[in-house]
Amino acid sequence: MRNRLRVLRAERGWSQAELAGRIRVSRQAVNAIETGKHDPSLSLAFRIAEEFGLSVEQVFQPETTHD
Amino acid sequence: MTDIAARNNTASLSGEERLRARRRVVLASAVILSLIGSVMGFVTGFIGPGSMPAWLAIASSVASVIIVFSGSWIYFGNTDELELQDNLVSAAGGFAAYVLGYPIWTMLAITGVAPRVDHTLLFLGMMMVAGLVYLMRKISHA
Repeated sequence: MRNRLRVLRAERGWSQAELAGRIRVSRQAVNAIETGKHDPSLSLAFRIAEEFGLSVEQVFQPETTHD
Repeated sequence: MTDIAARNNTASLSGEERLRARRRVVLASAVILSLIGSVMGFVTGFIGPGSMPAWLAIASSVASVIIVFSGSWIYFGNTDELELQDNLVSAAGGFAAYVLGYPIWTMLAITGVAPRVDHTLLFLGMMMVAGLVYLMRKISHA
């Protein structure tokens, strides 16, 4: 699963620790999600999207999209 | 202010401050539980095998169960899904080591290739494998 976490975070000037504190996870978890080492659960994905004020689809995209 | 922050009554804190506060809770609970465990270990080690009164053994057993359960409750209530996953994978690694280690050692002992099964060694091996897997996962997403 691809995501725009790093870009969205940079746009807001948030560090990984800042985002981690906001969405109640560790900084390592944010890093693991950003680098694609960890796919967040559905509830965490919604929490992340909510924090950015976006929909889940605007933050996360499947690795390959089928038309 | 976000809904998440408002729900947690920490809206006035920055994300980094909230993260630090959560880390403090986890660290404090880990330190307190480790201290209790160390005291228990020291007392039982000081008394030595064979001379420990039954009441102390029972009290220590009950305390261990309470500490592990309450400690896990506090710990997992303040950590995230990645930490939970790390714990599950490392526990599975330790379990796999035991499931493989016990029958293999037993088979070798029956045929005289190895000494009798030592359950303390098996327990230590299981814990070591679990610890190693946990460490490797931690390093991988540091």
